[in-house]
Amino acid sequence: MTAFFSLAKSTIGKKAIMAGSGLIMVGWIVLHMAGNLLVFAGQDHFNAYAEMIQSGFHIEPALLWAMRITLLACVGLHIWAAVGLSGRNRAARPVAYAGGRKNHATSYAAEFMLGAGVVLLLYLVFHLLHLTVGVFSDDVVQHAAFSKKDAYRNLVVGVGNPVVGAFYVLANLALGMHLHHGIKSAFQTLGLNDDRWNPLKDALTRWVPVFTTGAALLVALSCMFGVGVLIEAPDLSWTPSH
Amino acid sequence: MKVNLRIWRQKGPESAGSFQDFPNVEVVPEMSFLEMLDEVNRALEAKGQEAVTFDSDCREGICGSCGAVVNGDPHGPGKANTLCQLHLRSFQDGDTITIEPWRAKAFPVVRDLMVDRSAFDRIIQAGGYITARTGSAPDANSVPIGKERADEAMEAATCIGCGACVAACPNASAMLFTSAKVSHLGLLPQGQPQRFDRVQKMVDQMDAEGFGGCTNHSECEAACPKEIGVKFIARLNADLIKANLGNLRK
Ligand code: HEM
Ligand code: FES
Repeated sequence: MTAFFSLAKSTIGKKAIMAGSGLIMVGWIVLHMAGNLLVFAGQDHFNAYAEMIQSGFHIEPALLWAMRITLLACVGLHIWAAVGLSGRNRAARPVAYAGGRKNHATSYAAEFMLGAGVVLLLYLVFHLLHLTVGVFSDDVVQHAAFSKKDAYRNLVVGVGNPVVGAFYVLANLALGMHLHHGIKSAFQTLGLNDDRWNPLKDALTRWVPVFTTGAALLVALSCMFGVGVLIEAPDLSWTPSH
Repeated sequence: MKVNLRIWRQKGPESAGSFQDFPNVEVVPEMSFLEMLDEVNRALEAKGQEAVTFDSDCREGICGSCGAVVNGDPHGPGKANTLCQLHLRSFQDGDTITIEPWRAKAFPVVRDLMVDRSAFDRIIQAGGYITARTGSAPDANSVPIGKERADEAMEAATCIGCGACVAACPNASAMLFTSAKVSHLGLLPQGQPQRFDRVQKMVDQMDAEGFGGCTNHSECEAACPKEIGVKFIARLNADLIKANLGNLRK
């Protein structure tokens, strides 16, 4: 704990906290997206998977909450560091170059980190309300009442709404950009930049965003256009009557 | 050949500055950039006007005194260059050349193109030295150091402290400078005793001076006249994290 607090005092330490929390979220998001691909296995498989998570992986219901609290802590620390460091960085050049400054090395992803982060925060809040809590139990966003027991239907119908689906697509493009620079950046921040680590860094920087954004877009577009996903047997016990 | 100059003029740290235009300045391609500024100043002084203030010393690219942002690039166009080693042959007849000082909160403008870089000195003073008495220079190779390690320490040691890394960074960060100064000691046996104390003190000073943090754009590496790489920033990060997590500071 003392090490954590002494680390948190310097810019480099804050950045390390941002990298650590970011990488935990990356690990989680890869698993989450792999799980979401089960939507193509059909309603029964997907709902069984959702139930497995809700039951705390069939081990202990408290595990679900342990995971949620860990992720929430990561989000909190990540945003706290992001806000603090971004503010400092802006303050470090109070007078801009009157004639402009040219870039030679950076990327769009690197320049868009804070912007993508803000999109991700909005997305995170909406996504949780939409598919975890289910507050949009109306015909506008969900097209049908939300049901805790039918995660498949919530997803397919909920993301099938064109406006909601479009938001999922955009947010996950932002996620891909954020992770492309974020993973590369995290290795550098944690001091892992040498011949031993760089092959892994390069592979993850390229393939993690391709996988997460690719999977998310595949699921979202399938729901929007009704391709590959289908509500096979509308079980009336899952669907509250109108 | 003729060029049009737009040079930043500012009376002091607190005053507002602006560009002054010098149209159709007669130059020759063999001239160095600073020789051109000398000519501009000669003309200004002949008219009884205030000369353009800028820093320079060696004019051979080794002291780190010179520097200005030329058309958006610290030390002007091209790689691995200092302003004093930039020549007019890098420009075309009729070009407009915009010249302004390094822009960073930690580098206040003293006058015109001259900025106060003593923040760098204070980072060095905070820990960029070795306190052991070493006497006179030891015999060569009396402390055996592997070739790769010696080369890497040498690469870090080529930093001339010009400040182009800060000028090029979107966050006006001094991480490349600080990492070079931490690494050229931290890579060698003589630098080990105070290694983790040094990194903490120098980073604390860097933060206190108001430099921004690193967001890994690598613009510093692209601008550095000595082509010092961002791998040293990773080394600095690793040492600072180790110093804290391992509680290795004295
Ligand atoms: C919730 C809102 C979020 C905000 C406001 C945010 C903001 C930021 C910012 C400003 C940076 C530093 C950018 C830079 O270095 O230029 C960053 C880095 C990073 N972010 Fe996020 N982010 C968010 C969500 C996420 C999520 C959900 C993940 C992972 C799934 C993530 C993973 C990362 C990683 C790995 C880094 C690299 C850390 C480093 O620079 O060393 N972020 N984030
Ligand atoms: S004047 Fe010495 S490096 Fe340019």
